[in-house]
Amino acid sequence: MISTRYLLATGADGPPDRGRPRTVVVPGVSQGGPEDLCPALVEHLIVAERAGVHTVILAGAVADLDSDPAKVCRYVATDEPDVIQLAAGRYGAERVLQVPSATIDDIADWITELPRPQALTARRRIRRAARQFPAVRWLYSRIRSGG
Amino acid sequence: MPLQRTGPYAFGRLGSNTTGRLTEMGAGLRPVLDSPHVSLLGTGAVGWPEETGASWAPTPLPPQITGPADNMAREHDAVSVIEHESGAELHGGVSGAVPIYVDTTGGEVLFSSSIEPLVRTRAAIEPDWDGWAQMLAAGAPLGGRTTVAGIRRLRPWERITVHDDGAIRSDASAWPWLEYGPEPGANLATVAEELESAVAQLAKRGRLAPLLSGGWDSRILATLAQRATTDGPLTARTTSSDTGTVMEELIAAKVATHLGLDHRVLMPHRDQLGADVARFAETVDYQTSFHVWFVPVQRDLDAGSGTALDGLGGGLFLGGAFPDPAGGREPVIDRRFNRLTHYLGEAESVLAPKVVRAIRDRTRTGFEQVARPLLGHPFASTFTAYLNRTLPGISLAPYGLLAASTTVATPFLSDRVVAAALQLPPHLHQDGQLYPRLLGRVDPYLAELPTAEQLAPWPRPHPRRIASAEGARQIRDLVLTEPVRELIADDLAAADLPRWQTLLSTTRPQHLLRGLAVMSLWYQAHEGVLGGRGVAELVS
Repeated sequence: MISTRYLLATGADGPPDRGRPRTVVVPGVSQGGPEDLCPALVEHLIVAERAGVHTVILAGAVADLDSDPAKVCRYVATDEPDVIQLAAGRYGAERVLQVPSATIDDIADWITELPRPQALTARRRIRRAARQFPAVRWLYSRIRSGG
Repeated sequence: MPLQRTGPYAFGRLGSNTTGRLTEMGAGLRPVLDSPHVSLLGTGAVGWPEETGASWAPTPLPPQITGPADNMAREHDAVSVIEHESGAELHGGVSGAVPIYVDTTGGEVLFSSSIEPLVRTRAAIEPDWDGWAQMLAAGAPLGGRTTVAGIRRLRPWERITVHDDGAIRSDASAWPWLEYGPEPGANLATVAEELESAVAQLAKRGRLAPLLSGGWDSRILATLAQRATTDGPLTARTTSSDTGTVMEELIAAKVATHLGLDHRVLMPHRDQLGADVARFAETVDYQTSFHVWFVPVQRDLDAGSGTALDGLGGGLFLGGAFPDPAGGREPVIDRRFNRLTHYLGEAESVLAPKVVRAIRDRTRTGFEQVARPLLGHPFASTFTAYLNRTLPGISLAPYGLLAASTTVATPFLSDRVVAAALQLPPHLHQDGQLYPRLLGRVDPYLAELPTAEQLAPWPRPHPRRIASAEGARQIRDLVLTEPVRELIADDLAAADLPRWQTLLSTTRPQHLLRGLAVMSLWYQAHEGVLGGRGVAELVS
């Protein structure tokens, strides 16, 4: 399912489209989502990771956090107090969104509350653009290597 | 949860058992060899016929071996003890990557795969300040030092002998690997065949447990391991290296799916960072701080998991890692030193100025002793990095951390693989160009699949666990505990948490802070035997 604001990655999707990458929301197992990092899901997550956009696991139950897709998502969205507590320990409290309803149908109600991805801030865009130039890459590698 | 060691270990003695320390080290254990001049105890140790010697490795050995020690070192990277007519000998492995710690105080030679029994059976210990300086500045003590005065780590091919007259001699000369170099007619096929053979031999001795990092080394080993296995899919494990991307897990998942492996993705939990640092420090005997992020893999392994396959050495001996940095007229040995200690580039933001000077000077002295004799070798940059970084520090990820749980193997450090790889001239190793060529021989798809490093975006999109508020607080609490606090720059000691998070989000300060955290844990663990000793001598 594709919304203008997010992409719902169920593991049964087609290949990523060529449009602008959007936030990827992965339903938890309790929402009928994938248990594993199946090939279709991995392709969507790679596109999201390269673009620096958010990935969210929609967790309706504690067990949803134990799936492999949950282990690579940046945010947890949940309406369950038990999930909030467990996820805060694993992900850090700032990466856990308490939402009114952790169902697929209600994603649009909270998706805009996610902070702007760091990768899309002006500072990061400038740094990334600067690295297109070999001289900047060389300078950065010198700094990193201590040479 | 406290560490429960389920992995392989060994210890023993040369010379007469005069102090009773050996008995204390392994109370209740039955030695595989116990003769007048030699004892060896350990899991997986194998005695030679007629009790002339015995060998041990953290990698499963064949059930019957016969020596001699140099063959055992080259064939199995095993450490051996030998009973001679006039004394006894301890012979180190060919790679030196398996830690064997040696304590020669008290007229006997005690050795152990972990420092812990050696320290536990001493009345008191003292810090080796050169060792600590090198651990902070370079990642680990250099040239066979450890962080404990009087306890050394066996160097590659090092032999220690004890004679009837009580004399103890050490010799690390004639290391075979320094004889390897480019040969006319050498080819990559030989490297591939030797690596495949090394993995196949391991598969015959027990189930294998590959790791997948998203990079080349683990991908090659996992491919060869599954090809050598006939009883179903192996289980591969992946965790995050905490560099701000999950691309490693995603590419590892693609590799696992392609190879038909069962795949366990091990997420590092934010609230376990402090426990992970403590566990790492304990399993590596407080000798390095390089691979704290690797602990979730250790937690997931146990003695029944099989032999963990680690890619140690692949980057150096096959991938051409650590070529000499460009530097104009700067002497090459300076460039190599500066790269090894690049963590000191922003050290004043973490350490007091006099501490920075002290650890740089102490590290330079140790580095010179190892690096200068290598000048002129065709693979000088490779061996400089191997002996000063891979061997003292990185090796403890497989042979300290993972070996706390299960048997471990590092096929890229097989003697025959190293020999074959170094027969290819250095320029063919550049930029990892041999990797896809080697893997393409057995799996063209994986040879074409980009690595996680190649795909990961910059700047990295995810927060680093160690730089989170929770992580920074735990590191800060350790580092600001006395006596380590005395080493810290006053500005940082007074800084608020966001300042610590900023420092922990960059490579160089983070390295220093991890090292200081391990040092603090060492002081806590050894409070009873250190007798209140502080850190003032480090800068003296």
